[in-house]
Amino acid sequence: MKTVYFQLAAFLFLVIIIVFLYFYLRKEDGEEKMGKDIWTLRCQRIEPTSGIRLSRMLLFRRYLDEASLPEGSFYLGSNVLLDDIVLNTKKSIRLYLNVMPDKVLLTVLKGRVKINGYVYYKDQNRQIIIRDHMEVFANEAKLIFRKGR
Amino acid sequence: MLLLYFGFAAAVACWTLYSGLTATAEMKSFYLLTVLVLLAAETVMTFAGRKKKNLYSCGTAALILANAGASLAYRMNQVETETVDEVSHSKQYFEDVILMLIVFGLVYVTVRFTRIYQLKIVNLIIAAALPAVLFITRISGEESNGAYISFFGILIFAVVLAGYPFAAAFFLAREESRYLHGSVRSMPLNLALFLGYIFILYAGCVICNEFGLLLVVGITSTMLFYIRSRNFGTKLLYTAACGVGVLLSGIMIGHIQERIYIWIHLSEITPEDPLAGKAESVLYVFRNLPRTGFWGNGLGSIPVSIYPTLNTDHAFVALMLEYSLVFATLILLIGILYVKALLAGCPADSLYDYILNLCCALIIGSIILIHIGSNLGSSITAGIGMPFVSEGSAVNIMLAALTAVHCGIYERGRRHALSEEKTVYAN
Repeated sequence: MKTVYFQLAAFLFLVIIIVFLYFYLRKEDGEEKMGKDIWTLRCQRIEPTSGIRLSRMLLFRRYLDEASLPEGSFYLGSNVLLDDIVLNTKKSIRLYLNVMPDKVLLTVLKGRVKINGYVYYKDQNRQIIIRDHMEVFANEAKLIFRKGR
Repeated sequence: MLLLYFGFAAAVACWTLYSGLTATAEMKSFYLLTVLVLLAAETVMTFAGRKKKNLYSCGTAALILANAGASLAYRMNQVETETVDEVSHSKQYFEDVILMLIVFGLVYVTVRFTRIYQLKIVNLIIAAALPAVLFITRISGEESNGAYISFFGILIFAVVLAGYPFAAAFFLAREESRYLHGSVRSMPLNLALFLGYIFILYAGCVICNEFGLLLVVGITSTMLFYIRSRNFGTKLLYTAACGVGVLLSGIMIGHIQERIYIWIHLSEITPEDPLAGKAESVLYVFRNLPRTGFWGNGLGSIPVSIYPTLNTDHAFVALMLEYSLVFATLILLIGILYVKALLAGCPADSLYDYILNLCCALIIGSIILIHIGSNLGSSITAGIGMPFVSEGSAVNIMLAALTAVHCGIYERGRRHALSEEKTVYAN
């Protein structure tokens, strides 16, 4: 009979611990990152159109002027559903960014971009090297790649 | 929180000791010693882990699971006293807990303060050693029930899973500079190498007949592949390949075939059926669950003839039927919180650390998932224990090491983030 009281006590303590741990962990939930942010991507409007913004959130997208990039690969484009970073431009565009500590490799998958006066069209095999402070013109947006946060 | 933990540990200890189990004084003292060591660990963690909510939650969850494990080990003493060969499970579990804490401390210090584990050469050695362990075990190891599971006395399950996160992080965190067909839409070379590597591991698992390890590596690798692969077509192809693999294993591997048969024809199996013994391990749970009520059937009520591996592969069955369904559910919730703590927003310092941490969390998560699935009578019969609840020195030490890897990565990332914030404010 004694064991029933101990059992009940164990259940109660365990329930309180679970509730406590759950709320304790909820406070810790931050944005998950694939390592440190090593590059910053800034977006500017170059034509008088509205709503050129970057977005990194999958749900409840919040458009920002800047996006921090950790090491890894990302799709940057105008597709709200499929792209990791959404660029809200009129014409459709899709770029593949391979972010490395010293450089960013950019591949044009859809549309065209202008870098250092050269125009690059869709080419899946070509990786354009982007260095610090380089500017990429994509439709009516200017993307500035900056090293560091 | 410390008081809550003390209350829980004391309640479980009294519950276990007053359950009327027959055990020697030595067994009782080893059980109490284990509980005291776990209490000491929680006390240290409470004072050292202030303001480190994630680490504290992770450690507390692990210690609660270990508390349940110590109780289950004490319950198993009952079984052994019935036989001639008297083995103290409590003593064994006590030694395991001490080893787990030592390994946890060593791995934590290594990951937190050094970067040895990130060195290319170290990772290459680990990556080469894992398949070698599997193939050497097959060639020179001893057969046990048709499987080759031990490498010089240590379970290959523990050896391979302790090294696997480092090998996976080594392949997946490499720079994506080359692609299979030159196009960025194709698979990157590092992912292709990773796939090749895991297929070698699969082959090693198959020749050793270690399907539990294959399942854990398979689930973890698949999740990692889905996260790292950017191409939908590649993911689809991989899924198809996995589907074919699962189908083939269902058709060709005897014990999986038997379990599927039992699973489908559960109500039709008679006592004369050759599969009646195996079916009983599934049926026993469901037949007895309604009788357990709120308080369970009591410790020591399950016949060990039906579950010879009650303290290892069927730990959850013991929790459900003997300790009660309520207790089993609460312990499962603790297990889920443990995995959540491993996954929740870890501020990894680099891509390597991110993948390493993710891999550790996925391994522990899949072990819990497979254990629960296997104990609830699914078609999976992997023979995998519940983390820290089941006995098994090597596996529990491996799990302690993986937890330490997470804690080390988390703490270093947190410190870096704090110092960066300070620099930003200073500027």
